[in-house]
Amino acid sequence: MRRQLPLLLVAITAFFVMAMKFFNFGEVGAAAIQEADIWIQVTYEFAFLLGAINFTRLHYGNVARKRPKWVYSVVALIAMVLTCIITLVDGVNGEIAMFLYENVAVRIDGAIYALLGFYVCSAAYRSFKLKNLEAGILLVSAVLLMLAQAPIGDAIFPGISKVGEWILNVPNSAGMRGIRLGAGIGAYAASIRVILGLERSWTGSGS
Amino acid sequence: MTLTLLAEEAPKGILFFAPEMFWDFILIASLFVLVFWMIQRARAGLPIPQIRRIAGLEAIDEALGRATEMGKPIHFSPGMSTFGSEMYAGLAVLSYVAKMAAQYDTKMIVTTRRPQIHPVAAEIVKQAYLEAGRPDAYNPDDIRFVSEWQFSYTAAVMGIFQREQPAANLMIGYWMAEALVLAEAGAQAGCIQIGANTNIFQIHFFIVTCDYTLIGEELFAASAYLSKDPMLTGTVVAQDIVKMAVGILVVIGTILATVTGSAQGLIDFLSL
Repeated sequence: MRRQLPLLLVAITAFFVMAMKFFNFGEVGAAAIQEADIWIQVTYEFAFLLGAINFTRLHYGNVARKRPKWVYSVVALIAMVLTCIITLVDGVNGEIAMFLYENVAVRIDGAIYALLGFYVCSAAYRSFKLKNLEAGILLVSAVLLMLAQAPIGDAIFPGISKVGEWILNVPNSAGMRGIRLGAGIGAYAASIRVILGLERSWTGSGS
Repeated sequence: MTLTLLAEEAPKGILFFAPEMFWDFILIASLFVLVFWMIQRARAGLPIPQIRRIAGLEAIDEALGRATEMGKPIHFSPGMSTFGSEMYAGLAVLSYVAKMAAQYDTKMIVTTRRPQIHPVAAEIVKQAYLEAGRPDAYNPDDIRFVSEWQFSYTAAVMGIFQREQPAANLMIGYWMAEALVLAEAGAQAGCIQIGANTNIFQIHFFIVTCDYTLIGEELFAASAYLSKDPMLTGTVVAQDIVKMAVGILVVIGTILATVTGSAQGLIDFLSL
């Protein structure tokens, strides 16, 4: 039963959502959807509590057992507790909470995102090696596109911007659409496997 | 939120088939019929076509073997999405990898971004250790909910790569802008990397950074491929039949557009 109940809940919910999508049950249907949305929010909040417990237990264990680099766990715990206290006292949109959000959280988030710029360079350096045919095609396409996008490209090789445009619009678009098509239909099939209970590994019981 | 949006876009009127959803309905109904057909074939013991070799999935054993030989952990993440087709596919691979890790007695670190995924991932890994007869080796601290914030999660996992130096990094699911940052951090930590993604704007980052990449639909074939269950394989065959039908429509549209200068008739027909 412990394994069957989640499968049953998933199947019922999936057929409910599909019925709401394909048929119109008027105001009753709309109200049912909104009610289900509230249920999702409630279960989500409970799950978040479990996440917070796991986070606290892990980092508390790191500190208590003085595991390597345990100081970072102290910082993580202090940050979590302080943020909780400030948000509870000051409110979600309070002055201090918003200050912390805008000047600490958003800034750190932006800094990590900015790493992308550096990692693009290191990834390009490593991958643009002429080791096989595929890597060769990648290298040639990348060089052509870089030249096509830069103003100097047309100055050196007149008309290269047109070649770059063609690469982007024809082979690149065709490949992307093919992947999207396959992934879209694959997602449908994967969902059907879950709805029908064929895919059970997520319950911990294996397929 | 998704359901509320669904309610807003629901057609007005009383109990009628939503006409703009006609082709979606046909597509899903066809898939259901084909899946049931394949299930019947599998149950009857009739032959089901095999899935072609997928290098990225074959490499999972190699990655685990490498980690075991080096005595280092492996890192697994089922991606950034919440419950959905990509997440279920990622969790299916997690189930397989966890069983292998339990058998090889290799430490496995699983990080999750979504709090609702964490208990499910923990249950999968715990069950894998139970099935392997090593419940004592299961460490709940290795299944970690990190952060719901995209780049906080990214930073934390980068920290895990640096501190715990995993020998293998498996990122199987849906990835967004953090794809390259994580994969590159894993490469710099010396991990053998297997990535899977359906996000067409990020797949290329995995292709250039990971040792093996599952592209798009290969992710959804993973559970059938790894389990070798004929019924699951049958669903992949059903999916391929629908894909071929859609491919034929694309070819017809291309021929129409090339010969007559417009495929508008076909587009109008499919926009019913």
